[in-house]
Amino acid sequence: MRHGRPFSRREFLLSAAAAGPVFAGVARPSTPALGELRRDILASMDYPRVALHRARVFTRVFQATEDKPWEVRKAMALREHFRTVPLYLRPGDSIAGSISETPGAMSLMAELGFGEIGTDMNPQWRGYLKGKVPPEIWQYWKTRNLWGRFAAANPGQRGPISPDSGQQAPYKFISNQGHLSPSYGELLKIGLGGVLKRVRDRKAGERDPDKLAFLTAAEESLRGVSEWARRYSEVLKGDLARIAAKVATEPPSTFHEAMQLIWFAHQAIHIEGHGWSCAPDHIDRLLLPFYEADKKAGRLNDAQALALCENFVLKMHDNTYWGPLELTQGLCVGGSTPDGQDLTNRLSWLFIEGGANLALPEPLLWIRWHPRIDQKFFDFCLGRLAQHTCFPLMWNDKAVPDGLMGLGVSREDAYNYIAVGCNELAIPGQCYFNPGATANSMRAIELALTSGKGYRGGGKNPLASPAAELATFDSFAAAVGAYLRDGIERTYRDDMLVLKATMEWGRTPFTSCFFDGCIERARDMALGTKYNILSCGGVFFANAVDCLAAIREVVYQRREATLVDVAAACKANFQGHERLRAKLLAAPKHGNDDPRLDDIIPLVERLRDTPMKEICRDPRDGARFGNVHITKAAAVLTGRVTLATPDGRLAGTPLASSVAASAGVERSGPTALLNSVCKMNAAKSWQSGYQVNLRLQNVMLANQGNRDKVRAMLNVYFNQGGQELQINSIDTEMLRAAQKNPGQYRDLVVRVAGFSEFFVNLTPEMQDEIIARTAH
Amino acid sequence: MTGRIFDIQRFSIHDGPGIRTTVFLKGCPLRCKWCHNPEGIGPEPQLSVMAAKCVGCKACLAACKEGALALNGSQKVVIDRARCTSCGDCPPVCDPKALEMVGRTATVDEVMAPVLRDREYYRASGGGMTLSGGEPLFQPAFAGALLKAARAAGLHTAVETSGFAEWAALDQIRPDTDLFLYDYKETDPHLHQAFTGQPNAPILENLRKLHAAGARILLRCPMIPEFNARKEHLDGIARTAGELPRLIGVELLAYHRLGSSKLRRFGFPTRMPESVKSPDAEAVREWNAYLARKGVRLVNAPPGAVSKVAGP
Ligand code: SF4
Ligand code: SF4
Repeated sequence: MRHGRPFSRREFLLSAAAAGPVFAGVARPSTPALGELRRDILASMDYPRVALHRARVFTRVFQATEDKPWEVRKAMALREHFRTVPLYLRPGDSIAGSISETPGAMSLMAELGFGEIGTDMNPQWRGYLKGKVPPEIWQYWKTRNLWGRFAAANPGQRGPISPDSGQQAPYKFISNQGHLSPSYGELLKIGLGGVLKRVRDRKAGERDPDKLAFLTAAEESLRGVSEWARRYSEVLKGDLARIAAKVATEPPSTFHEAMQLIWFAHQAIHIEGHGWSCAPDHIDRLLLPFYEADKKAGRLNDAQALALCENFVLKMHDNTYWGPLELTQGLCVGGSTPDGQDLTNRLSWLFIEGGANLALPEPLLWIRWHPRIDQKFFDFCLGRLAQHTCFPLMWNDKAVPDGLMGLGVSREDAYNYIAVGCNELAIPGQCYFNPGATANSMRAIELALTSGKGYRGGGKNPLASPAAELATFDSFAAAVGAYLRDGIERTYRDDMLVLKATMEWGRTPFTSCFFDGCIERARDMALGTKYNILSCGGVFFANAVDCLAAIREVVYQRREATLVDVAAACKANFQGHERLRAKLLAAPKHGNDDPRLDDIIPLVERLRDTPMKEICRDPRDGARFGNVHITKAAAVLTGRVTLATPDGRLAGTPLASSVAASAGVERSGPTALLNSVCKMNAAKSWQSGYQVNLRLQNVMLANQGNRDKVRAMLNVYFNQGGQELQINSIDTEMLRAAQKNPGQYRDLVVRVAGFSEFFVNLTPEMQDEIIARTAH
Repeated sequence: MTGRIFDIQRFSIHDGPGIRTTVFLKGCPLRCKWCHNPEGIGPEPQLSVMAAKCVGCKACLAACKEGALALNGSQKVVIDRARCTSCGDCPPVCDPKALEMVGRTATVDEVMAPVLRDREYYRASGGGMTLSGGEPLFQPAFAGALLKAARAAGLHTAVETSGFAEWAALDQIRPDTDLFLYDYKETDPHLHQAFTGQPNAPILENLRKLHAAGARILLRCPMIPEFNARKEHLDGIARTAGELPRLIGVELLAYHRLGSSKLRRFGFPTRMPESVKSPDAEAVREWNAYLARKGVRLVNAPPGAVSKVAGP
């Protein structure tokens, strides 16, 4: 409730509406079997488990094949894994294929690297890898895996981490890049056998050793996946056995078969190591012909189709687990063709419905809004949002393709875009998300304020005039720009070293079979896909806008303090500088549709875009980079170790997770927030995606009258070019209650800056952050 | 043309159709005991004190010529309302905004600028601008000018009013008002006088005239336990609605205690007994159902209270 603001008369009544808030996030699986499957999956996720079969097989095979090319060895190991991994099917599951030999356990990807991930989110799980990796595996791989070889080739860069150090590992070194969507259209037409035949046909007569190595590796791994499917057919019973046997090589002919085949391929990609943030193509479009044929033949009704969709969603959830971190699996439905035709179909509805019924934090469900979206479908999605609290998330066809086309993507391909990961974009089989540099405006502001030293000292050469000599706001902005350029340059250099290592030791021949042109060119996807769009990740955009606005107002317009004062105050976390902090806080804040920020917003975009365009080029084909907003848990985690900032934010408190507003400064309601976002240039400055969080009270979405108004508002936002939107449908009272009685709210899912999580699993700090984000 | 306002609230969705921006005008001739916007009553700016925001810098102590301000043991500001003259000298020195003047003078253009920023949302949702308060007709000329400006910009306009005003004032804004959200607070004339400090006869007369003049009116009835939440009053609502065939309908607004924290900020005495609680959902449903049985067209009734629920 808005204490301290005038209440409209109707608000004054609110008790009727507030009396019975819909409890969001309650699971309602459509069959008892699915309920059992859901319980079984969740029950196995209570602690990070590590599965070792894959690492053992890889060690054995690699030791025995020292003379062969790396990718061939990898494929041989993968095939051996598929031939030997113990199989299981969870109760209630109608889709076969699991990530490892143990329910709820993630395979150790020994050939990539060791190390823990995600324990900063769940500190109580720090050290979960300790003692779990047999010494012979660690000994063999520590100098031979991707990470070990990277460290050897790049002295001075961080070296390999031992499994017992309990240290955090950058995810790129313990998984392949991920953030992709394979293209499954051809697979559904010709089956695994057909793909294998294509590889063999291409291989016939090939003499080039590199090409032969790729094709041999592709062949090996495809055979391994077929063998794996066939093994399932031997342990399964009835229809499930028949389906697994069929899709082991043949193309599917029914909805269930098609779904099973996609799952085998998708799961195998995960096992190969590309499972991070992997979306299974436009699944509603791909499965539609099978659904329609089955319905026509009387083999399938909507209840059965819904149950299978729910089963698929559950499989994706089962697949998300990697230590304490979710792997942000996602499904994207709906969207339009380049000429504006609506591609939403019956299955788009069923996947949204199924997702809402299961109330899980993963997989993420996305829809693509477009001007001709069926408003009934849009209303249905918003209604389900009230039930599920955060899904579906939304991308806008009116904004995303423009940005991609600006980077050289054809119109047709740009309209085929898909959501992957937290808020990344990809094109199935043509282009996947890959960060290649980072633009940290907050650090640049700090350096400009401290003449290059930083609050904690230790900065190197000053790249601009000392702070005391920056006499105009423009000169200050230029100084920020100089430090930002330097940061982009350095992170670009580092990321390209990683990319180079990945091109060599991070190849994935199986996944490559689902990327356009890899088989024809006999070349792994790591060496280039149809479009190679790397991204420069920007962080904490809203804080940067607020900082520059506050400095302009307080230092340069009102002249109430100097840059040196501001730096001293930030360093001291504003202790003894309370009045200065209040002045900085009183400056205009992004997210409130404040016209005084109209020039600051493009300035912050420009400060990054200009150097980024000059510096960043893909080393493989010289393609331009796109810009992306990086979120994940960074807002809270980075906030924890970031000193006070000139926007008045205190040390240790969260930074902005959404590009729309810094934590807790939005005061003017959702229309003002969305107007603020529309001042950003999505097509030029955020080609690879940004992220906007909007919190709405549950009653806004659960009640049809309110929901119509919300829908109207969102139509305006998207029509005006808003690129992305995520809504948290939340009742603040409910969150407080969940904090007090976590036991009663185990099912409550919230979206935390880029990923979603069960609310009760978040640290108290993150819970507070969610509550503090102003509810409307 | 200037007037006194105390807030502009965007994305108001409970006061008229669609997405709206509500402009709160300051000043009100009534003194309803359950008033939820006490800062809207007096025409002059009011000093709001939020001790929680105070950082104890003492800047205001020096600024106050009346010696009305002091710090308490926990270094938070306290005010002696008996001394404060609402001169407005202290808020400018209080950076954390623990002290704030609520209410300001604004021109029509200054009000319309933020209102017009949400134009696209109004267009898409059938929304517009709502005048509220206080009592908008306490500043009839200003209210009229705002409505005209909104109309000129093509916005739908609504006015929340207690109806306690000169007929001439109502009549003058009538052509520029698409919807009246008209309060009906108490049927019994004596009780009305006791609860609001004013008689209800002129309010009822204005209501009839407005209806006769063809205005679109939604009758809004605050339901306050221990005050007007009685069968006789519900009967009165039904009777009045029955006499006004072109009324859009009746909306019951159930009491909520959310205003009480604001009373403290402005130093107003609490006039509602602690015993008065917000009615539960069941009671609200029953009131609605009772009126529905009497043939009253209800707007925004809770589900289950009436078989068919209309919207304005
Ligand atoms: S000026 Fe404001 S912050 Fe300072 S003592 Fe007075 S009320 Fe507190
Ligand atoms: S408004 Fe004026 S009289 Fe009242 S406390 Fe502030 S300075 Fe003192």
